[in-house]
Amino acid sequence: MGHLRLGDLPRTRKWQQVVGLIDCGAGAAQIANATIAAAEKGLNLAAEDAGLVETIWLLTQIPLAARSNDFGGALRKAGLSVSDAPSLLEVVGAFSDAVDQRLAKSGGRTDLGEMAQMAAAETITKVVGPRTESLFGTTAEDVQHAFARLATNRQFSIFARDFFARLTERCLNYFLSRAVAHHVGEERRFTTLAQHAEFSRALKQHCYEAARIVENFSGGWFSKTNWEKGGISRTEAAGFAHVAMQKMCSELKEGARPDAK
Amino acid sequence: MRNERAIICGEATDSGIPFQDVQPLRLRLWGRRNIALDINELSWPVLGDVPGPFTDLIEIATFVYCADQIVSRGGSGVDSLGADWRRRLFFRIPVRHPDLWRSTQVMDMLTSTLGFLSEDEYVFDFTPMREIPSGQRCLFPTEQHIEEVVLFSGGLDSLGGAIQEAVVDKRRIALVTHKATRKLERRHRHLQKLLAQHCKDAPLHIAVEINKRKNLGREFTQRTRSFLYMALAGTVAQMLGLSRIRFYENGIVSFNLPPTAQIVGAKATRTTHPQVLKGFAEILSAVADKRFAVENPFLWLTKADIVQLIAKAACTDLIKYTTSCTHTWEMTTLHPHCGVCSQCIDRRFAVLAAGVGDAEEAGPEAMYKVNLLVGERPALNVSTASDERQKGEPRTMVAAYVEMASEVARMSPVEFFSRFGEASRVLLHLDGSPESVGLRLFELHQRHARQVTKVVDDAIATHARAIRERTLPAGCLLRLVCDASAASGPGPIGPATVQAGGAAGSTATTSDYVFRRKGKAWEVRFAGGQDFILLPTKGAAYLHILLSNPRTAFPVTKLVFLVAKAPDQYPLGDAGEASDRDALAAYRAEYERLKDEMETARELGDEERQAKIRADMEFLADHIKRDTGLGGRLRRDSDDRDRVRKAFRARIRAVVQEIAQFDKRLAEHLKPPNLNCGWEPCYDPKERIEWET
Repeated sequence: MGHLRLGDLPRTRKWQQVVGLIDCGAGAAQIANATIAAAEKGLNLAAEDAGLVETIWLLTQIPLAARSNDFGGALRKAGLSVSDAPSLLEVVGAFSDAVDQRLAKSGGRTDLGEMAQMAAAETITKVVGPRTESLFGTTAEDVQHAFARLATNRQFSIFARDFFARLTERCLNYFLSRAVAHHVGEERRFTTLAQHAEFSRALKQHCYEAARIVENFSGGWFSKTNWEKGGISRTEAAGFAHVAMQKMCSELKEGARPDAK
Repeated sequence: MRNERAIICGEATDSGIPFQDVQPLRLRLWGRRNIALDINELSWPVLGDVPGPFTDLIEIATFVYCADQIVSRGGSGVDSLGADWRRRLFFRIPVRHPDLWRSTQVMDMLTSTLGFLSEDEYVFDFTPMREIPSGQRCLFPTEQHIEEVVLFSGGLDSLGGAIQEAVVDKRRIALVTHKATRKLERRHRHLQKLLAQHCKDAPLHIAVEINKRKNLGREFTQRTRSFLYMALAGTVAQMLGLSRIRFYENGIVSFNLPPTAQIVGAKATRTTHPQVLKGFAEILSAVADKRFAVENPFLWLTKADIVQLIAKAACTDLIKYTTSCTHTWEMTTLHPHCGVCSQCIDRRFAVLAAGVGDAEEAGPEAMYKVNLLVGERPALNVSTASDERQKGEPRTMVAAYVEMASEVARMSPVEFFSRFGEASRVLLHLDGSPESVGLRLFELHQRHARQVTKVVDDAIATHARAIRERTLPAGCLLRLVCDASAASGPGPIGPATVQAGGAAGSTATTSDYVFRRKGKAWEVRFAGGQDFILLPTKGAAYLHILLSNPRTAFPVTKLVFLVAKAPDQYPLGDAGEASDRDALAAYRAEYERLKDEMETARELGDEERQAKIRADMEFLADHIKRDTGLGGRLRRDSDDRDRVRKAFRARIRAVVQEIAQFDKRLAEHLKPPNLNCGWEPCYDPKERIEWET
């Protein structure tokens, strides 16, 4: 039980271009560009993806809930099953369960939604974790304070950037992991696994750089929408998801171009 | 359209199906049956006097398990981001206790547990069973007092569980086994015999076999297998007066954090995931109408820990007869383990980490078709991979496994939870606070990672000389981890120097304009911008010649011949002029005449006549245009030179289009007047550009 099976990229022209670029030694930026071009059709459906929308909506709700006097109550209202004084890992676990439960009822789970959900759980740990004393010994006050800080324009931008960088990296690796490992070995693109890992790091860094475009507008969107509409609805989160994903795709396409700024 | 399928079971009718399924799948366990469930090689009615709700549960589980193998998940689904992976399955199943199965509570338990287990969406419609099939007496030996019911797959973990229960704790147990393939039967029987020799009370074995018509099996993922196991083991436990069943699976596999990004959601099996076992316990409790437990006592152990437990119980000789390999089709007497699938890799690492890897009784390296550390793992050639199930695995799997261990071994808790979002699905589903669960989860994975990396480090030390001399097979794990030709970093799995971010392996150049060979491809830089790679195409080769010789006009055929592999095979003839001059003059005269006639028809307002003349004129105009070129000269028919010119232009257009994807400025630059195609292509930029070619 518990076995894994791995797949390969399709043998279409666009995907074979990606494979060719890996084989011929292209850099992370160019490979990301070609991958996005090949996968664009699937990624364009982001705004309709129930998992992605629910994930982004919940990501906006946690900082807002942390501003309330009753943090636990506000989180429960958003669908997170937590105690009155939740720890960081409790919020992370409840976040994941909330998305699962929502999708179990409404349907519409996809690989993109799944990747978004996991990227969000990782972002919460990554951004909030270092702001609390320790991952395993957090006090409820520390956790609430750390989440409340994310509700500012600047901090939400950082939060959103980390999320979209992770999501994009997951998406790119979702495809590339089917091909890259075939190019490890003697007289191949990557002689050793260490070189392969170095490429993965370069790709991660590239995604983080590209996600600056989301950082530039997400904080403003969060504050403005929350102020003007007295909260953020799932419809607004869907709109944000659509724009952010489109911007990320365009940025990754521009990123490999020397003329891109 | 979603991947939907309606499954009509037994005697149920297909009226009012909620899906647009024109051909619902019919599954029958009775009468004209196409699936069969056999327990202890006796036919299904052996469970005739099993409590009714449990009989229903077994039948439901059988239908779900069979449908899971019959309804395809749509292949790899890469382009659609796995859209067809998640199916929507409608089951109409006749049951003996419709009230129980129709209750909201049980329905929710079923759909949510199965939904999490297989990532499909389930819709159940339970109808009252009209004709209840007659049953036989149950054949379980009642005089034997059984203390525990354990699932037994014949793999290493379940053997560890059986040893823990029957040998170490000296308990009387029943082992429920699913006979997945007859190929394993002899090994299983031998294992059972040996196990019995180590126990005070030999375990009771209950083997289950499920058969379906050969043409029905389409999907090999079988995510709902453990649901069927649970139903069978739960029934056995109930009949033996117990209220608990145990799965024995190491924690790493139970949590099954994905080692590579292509494994998303339930593509990493959730067979014994804590959420699944919790759901199973709820279902069994509802069916038995009492509290029922489903446990995995090995949840916080690694596979290596389990091997150590087996060794400590002096049962190492049993290890050799366990089978974990998923590539059963490759299995031979000589090589019962493929050494390539995730299970074989995991198993071999565990045996080596536990320090019994060299023991003959633990299954020596020779039993693996591919040696874990020094065996050649051929690089994939997708087009020649003989079996869909083998594609992607030989090198990728071991690379992902070792990379993950290497990564986890260096991680802090924050790094671990911000790398494996999937861990969040465990935190609230085990006893203890989320912090204590999180800490145990982290420590378990770190221990496993250290066990794996130690095996690799020890092997590097043992084979240091062979690595330095590069005498090991090029595609073996040790060479992939530490190749003497590439090792320049501090350690075997440490960072290495590679220009991974930019184009790799290029020789440094300071020129702002580069278009030069790099391996079989082309390295390009324009106006000091970022380097990029152009894949080898004829268009790129033409461009290279033109950029290398600015302001030089080449006859197009000469250019093409310079690049062609076999220029002497290019015929450059033609079939003469496409039309003769007299005929062309006649066409033109006729065209002029029709023009006059058109004027007349227009004056008379004769619409019908005008349409006919227009059609004739268009026909003549097409002919004249087709047969004449620039300046009215006659075209030549089947002109090979013209074909070469057109092909050349198409290749250049394609390569410029490819360049546009990576550098718009260069694509813009490679247009007229800088680059002219035609009969005498020439690169003649306005400004003076020195290309390094």
